[in-house]
Amino acid sequence: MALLEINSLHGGLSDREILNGVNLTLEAGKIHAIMGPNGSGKSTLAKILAGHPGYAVTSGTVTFDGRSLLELAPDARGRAGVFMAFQYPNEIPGVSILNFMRTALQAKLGKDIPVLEFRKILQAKMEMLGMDKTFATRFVNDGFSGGEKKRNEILQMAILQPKLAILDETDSGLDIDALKIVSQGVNTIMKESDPKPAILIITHYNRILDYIKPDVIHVLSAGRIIHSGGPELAKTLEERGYDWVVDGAAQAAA
Amino acid sequence: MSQEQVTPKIGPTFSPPLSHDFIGTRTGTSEPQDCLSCFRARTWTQLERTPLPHPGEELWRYTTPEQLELERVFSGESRSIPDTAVLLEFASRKPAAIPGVQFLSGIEQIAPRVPEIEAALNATSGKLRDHATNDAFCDALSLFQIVNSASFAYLRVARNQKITQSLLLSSLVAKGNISGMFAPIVIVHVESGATLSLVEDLDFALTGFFLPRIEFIVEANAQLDFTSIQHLPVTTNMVARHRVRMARDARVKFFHIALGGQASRLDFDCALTEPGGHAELYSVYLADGDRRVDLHPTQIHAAPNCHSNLYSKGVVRDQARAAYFGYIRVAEGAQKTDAYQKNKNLLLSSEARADSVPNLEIKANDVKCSHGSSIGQISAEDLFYLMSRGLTRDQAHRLLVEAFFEDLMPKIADQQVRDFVHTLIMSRL
Repeated sequence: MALLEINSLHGGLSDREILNGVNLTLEAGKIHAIMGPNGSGKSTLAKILAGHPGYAVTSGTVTFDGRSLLELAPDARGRAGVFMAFQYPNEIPGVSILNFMRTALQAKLGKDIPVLEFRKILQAKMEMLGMDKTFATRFVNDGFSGGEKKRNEILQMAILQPKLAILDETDSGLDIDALKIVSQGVNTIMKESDPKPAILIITHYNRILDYIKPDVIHVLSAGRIIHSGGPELAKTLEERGYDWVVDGAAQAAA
Repeated sequence: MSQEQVTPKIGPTFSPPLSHDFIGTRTGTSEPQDCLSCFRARTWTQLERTPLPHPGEELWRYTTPEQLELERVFSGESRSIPDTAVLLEFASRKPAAIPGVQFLSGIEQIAPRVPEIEAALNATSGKLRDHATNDAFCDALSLFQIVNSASFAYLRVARNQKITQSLLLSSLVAKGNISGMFAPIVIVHVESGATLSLVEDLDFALTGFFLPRIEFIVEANAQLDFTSIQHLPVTTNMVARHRVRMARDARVKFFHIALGGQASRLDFDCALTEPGGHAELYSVYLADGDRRVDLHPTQIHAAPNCHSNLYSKGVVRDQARAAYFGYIRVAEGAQKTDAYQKNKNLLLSSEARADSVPNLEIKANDVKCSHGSSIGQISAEDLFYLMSRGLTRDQAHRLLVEAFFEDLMPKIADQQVRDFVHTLIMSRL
């Protein structure tokens, strides 16, 4: 059975429908990318899957790991194994990464983890991602560079070991070195995880796909997936843009 | 003593039937207590001329006499609970017997000190007090407390004595369930060049009214750290009055933690009476349920070249209400004053409410003074970020509240005290 099944999903902001019938199936261990022009609904899809309170579903179903995802509150989704790497991670001064992640992992596992034990887990993950030890005691994203914020998202993913990771424009605002580091982190998590997660990369650019190799690429336009293909689709999109897909889909519909 | 009923001049709301006899019964008649009896009698005369707190007054606007049930307090039916204060080592909770520290408590021990106590309690905060307005430290409640109190303590740290460990001021009544009015009076006297770190931990099970008064006298070049931890039950209403007077080059750090009480009010005056004084004044409060927290801090700069910084932060949730009414008063001639006051509130529910009113009254022309206040809510985006990682709403609130207090916690210098306070706050979230 697929890990995630999205059927005819409609929804968006409370006053504006953005998704217009999204269908998507994801298997564990696979990497899918969703590309598309600005305003096509990529980030809306990510936020709806994560349960952002500012977004609403008007119709359709989402089945995750055998249950209806849409009935779960955002925190229950997190505990069930849905993880979204935020496009703009929030700065939370006063909350240390250690305290935050320990609380999150305890919530997920439903048991107390002594500080010393958690410190070891955290250090192992930071080492795996090549991160400085001082990170642990810093406040969540407080005064972080763009690259540090995105690495912090990947660190959280490494600790929480989600079944489904949605990377919402994780590449935006990163220089090439930061992008490489973040991508390597994702690849390492994929390699080291057992069972392996499904990863959904939401991106505007194909740059990140040079470093994280997708199994399937989907093109989202006007709230619908209008085209899907293999990894080679990234190169075609880079060379020819989105217009040919959009036009092709329009003709097919006509 | 006369048995006739005396009615003090009062505000329009209530009229307490008090008897002159009341003073006699409070103190008895044995020889060493005469001095205290005379003091009480003089105070009684003053009380007769003093109007009772009235809800129309600015000072009683936020937490009204009615909410504090002052009518019952003044009725005299609740005679003050007798108590003997004790001084302990904070770390061991064992009685502190430290060279250079004198601690007296109970009427017998206190009697010889009455002239000093009277002077301390009657001192005004200097020429700065605007006597046209209500002065909390000589209002009817304070006078009534002197008349009625059955618990006195006197703590003195001798000249140049540096007390390195934190001491804990506690009381004997604190052990069991008590009801009525508890109105302890404490004088803390840090002599010149001495150092004291003092903690009070208010956690007794009182059903009734708590009216504590502490006078701090900090002499030249002395240093005082005071941490007040209040986590009383909701069966307690309280008005705490703390006043500190600082001499030349004195340094103080105050940290008030208010976590309990149904209606709890703090009147706190910090007077810098000679040049070179340095005061750091912090407070945190947490109001939940339908509780009320009411803070009235005043920084009084009566001399030039003093520095004071007040930073107060509170979390208000459920249907609770917090009020902050702060003052910086700078006297004529108090040049080069450097004074700040800041109050921040975090509201956790739509029904929670905070009022924040900082005031400046500056009569010198070469000063740096500022004040600020804010009332904010937890950001929905921050909450979503934390919850998306699996934290429940309560867990996320807890982290964000802990974060809100985070910048003030390190101001408690003693690690043991800090840990104690931190654990206590977390247990309430």
